[in-house]
Amino acid sequence: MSEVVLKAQGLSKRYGDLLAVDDLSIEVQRGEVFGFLGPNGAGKTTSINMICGLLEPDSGTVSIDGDAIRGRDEALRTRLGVCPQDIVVWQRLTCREQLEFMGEMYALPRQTAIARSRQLLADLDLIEKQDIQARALSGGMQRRLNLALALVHDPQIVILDEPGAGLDPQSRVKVRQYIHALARSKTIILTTHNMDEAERLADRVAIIDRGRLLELDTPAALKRRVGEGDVVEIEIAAQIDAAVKAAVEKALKPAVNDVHLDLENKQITVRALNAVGKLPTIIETLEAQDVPVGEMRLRENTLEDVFIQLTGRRLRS
Amino acid sequence: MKAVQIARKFLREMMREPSLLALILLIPLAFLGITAFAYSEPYQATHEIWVAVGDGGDAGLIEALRIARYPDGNLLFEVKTVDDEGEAQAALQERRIAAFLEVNADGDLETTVHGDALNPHFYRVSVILNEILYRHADRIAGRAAPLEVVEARYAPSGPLNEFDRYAPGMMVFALLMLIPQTAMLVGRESRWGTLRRLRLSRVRSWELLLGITLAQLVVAVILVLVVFMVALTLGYHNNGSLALAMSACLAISFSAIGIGLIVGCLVENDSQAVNLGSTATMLGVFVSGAFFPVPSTELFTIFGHSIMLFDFFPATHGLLTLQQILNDGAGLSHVAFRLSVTLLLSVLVFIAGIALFQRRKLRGDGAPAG
Repeated sequence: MSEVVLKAQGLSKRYGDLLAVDDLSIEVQRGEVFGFLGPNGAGKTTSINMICGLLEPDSGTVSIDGDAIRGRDEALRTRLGVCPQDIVVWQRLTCREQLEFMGEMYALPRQTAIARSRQLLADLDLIEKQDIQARALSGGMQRRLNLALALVHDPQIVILDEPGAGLDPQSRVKVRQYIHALARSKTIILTTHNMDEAERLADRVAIIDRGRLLELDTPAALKRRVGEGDVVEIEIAAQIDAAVKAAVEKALKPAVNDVHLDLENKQITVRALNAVGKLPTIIETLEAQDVPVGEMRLRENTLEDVFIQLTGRRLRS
Repeated sequence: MKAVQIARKFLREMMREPSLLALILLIPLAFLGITAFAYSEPYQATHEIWVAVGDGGDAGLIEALRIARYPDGNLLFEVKTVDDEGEAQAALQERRIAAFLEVNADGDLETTVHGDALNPHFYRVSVILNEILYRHADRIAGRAAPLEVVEARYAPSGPLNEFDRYAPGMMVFALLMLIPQTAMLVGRESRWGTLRRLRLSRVRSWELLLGITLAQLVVAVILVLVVFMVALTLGYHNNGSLALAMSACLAISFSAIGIGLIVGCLVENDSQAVNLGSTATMLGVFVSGAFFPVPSTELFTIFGHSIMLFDFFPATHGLLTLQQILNDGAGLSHVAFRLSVTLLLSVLVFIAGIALFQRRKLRGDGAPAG
């Protein structure tokens, strides 16, 4: 039976006229990877800051294992490890020094802090750089050190704010592998505007936009809500008018599950079961309407499709 | 314990940034060297003066000048009689001599004193000459001196030259250099987000602020010791207790750290920290009188002590305390009042710095985030 480890109820935060977070309520289950997916400025980081106690909500409560977080509750804070979106390291301390220092700041016994630091450096492939000052590390290494600093006190819940941001492909793979490994023993909350990252890592995803929670479910369930089948994206090689658009949509509707023609971006998005088999029909229909066809792409449903359906906008727009 | 670890972290970072250490150490040392080079001539120096005697003779004035001595027995003047007034004027212009006297005792004793008002030697000599001339005039007129002046030192010892007076000021200067340095360190901690990381840990605000303060106090002790040792090497005459002087320095340091925290809340990068912090330092140095005494207006008296406008600056009292301890050999009982006022004012500034820093940097931030 699932067990709620973190519960946020009715969280709101306003900055002047901007309602950054609007009545956010979530429950995070023990041992799951919980994803916050939304575009930049959606309110993800503000939500995280309220959850970890860095920011006082205008209204609402956060509790861990049923204990409400109020002000500076040290015992509760120790249960959380936060890896911020930006690289937050001491430039003139070595990797080992800053991990041991943070361990001591979390009141770990000295020997435990040393052992834990060494373990994290090994796990995140930084052991050879342990005596190098952070300013001499590459961006990817600094990001891994950033992650290690959030884990040094062995927290029960790990909050990762855009863990893939700014990583080179090699480091991104290492960090993803490490998050997967972490998920075996910890509850992870991650924010991302990267749908691929959310899909690959998260057990459940909360889609957030303009401070509001739009949907919360597993990635598979969210994608099912958009519609069954695969997606064919077809570029239109010339400008067409609204009348042609309406005609194309009318003609394709019987053959596919869903069709959307974006005049501005000159793109037709078609969702259909057995989309490959239906490609000849789709092409014939377009040619019959004198619509010049450009590049075509076939893909599975993504969380981006979910986001577009919910907001009418792309995640990266 | 966490405060000690935080202090160690700050010290470690400072040690790895030579430019930061150079900022706070080399500038005061450079000023110390300049003052040692320029102002090491003893106060009780024997000044060369030239005298031209007219047809009426000198009525014994030259002899009176030749035998005049400081209380410790040193001769006041080396007197040379000359005939060529043009040569004497040239010597004055070139500052080879402190003063040139024309004397003629034809009937009354007429004396004209020539000197360069911009020459500090003449400034000093003219006062002494004035007294000797009037005393001599009374003697040859057969008048009993209406006033007997006995010079008694304020303290058993005292500064022997201008450099002795300036050296404690250079210590204050060095301590006030903690302002830009503190601003830079805490500003970075905020800008880099590491302050936020620390806030997420089990560190309490007071432990963090105590850590910063401890680190800066260690730097203050090192600064004072280095400046003091270099001053001694350059010829500074210390007459007091270094331990007592150190207590005054630590009292001043609290205000410097407090101002540094305030500046740290206002700046957005290292350059601003250095610019604004150094401006605060120079203002502090100016109002403290570390470079030269600044006249001030008496506001009121308390326990018999005049309280001047600039007395509200901790460094002003701090400098006076340091000068009394190191130059005059004053003990704790003698400087207790000023030391207490220094500490009190410093702690007030420190508390103001901590309050602002806590409000601006250690509470929930007001910036919207993604």
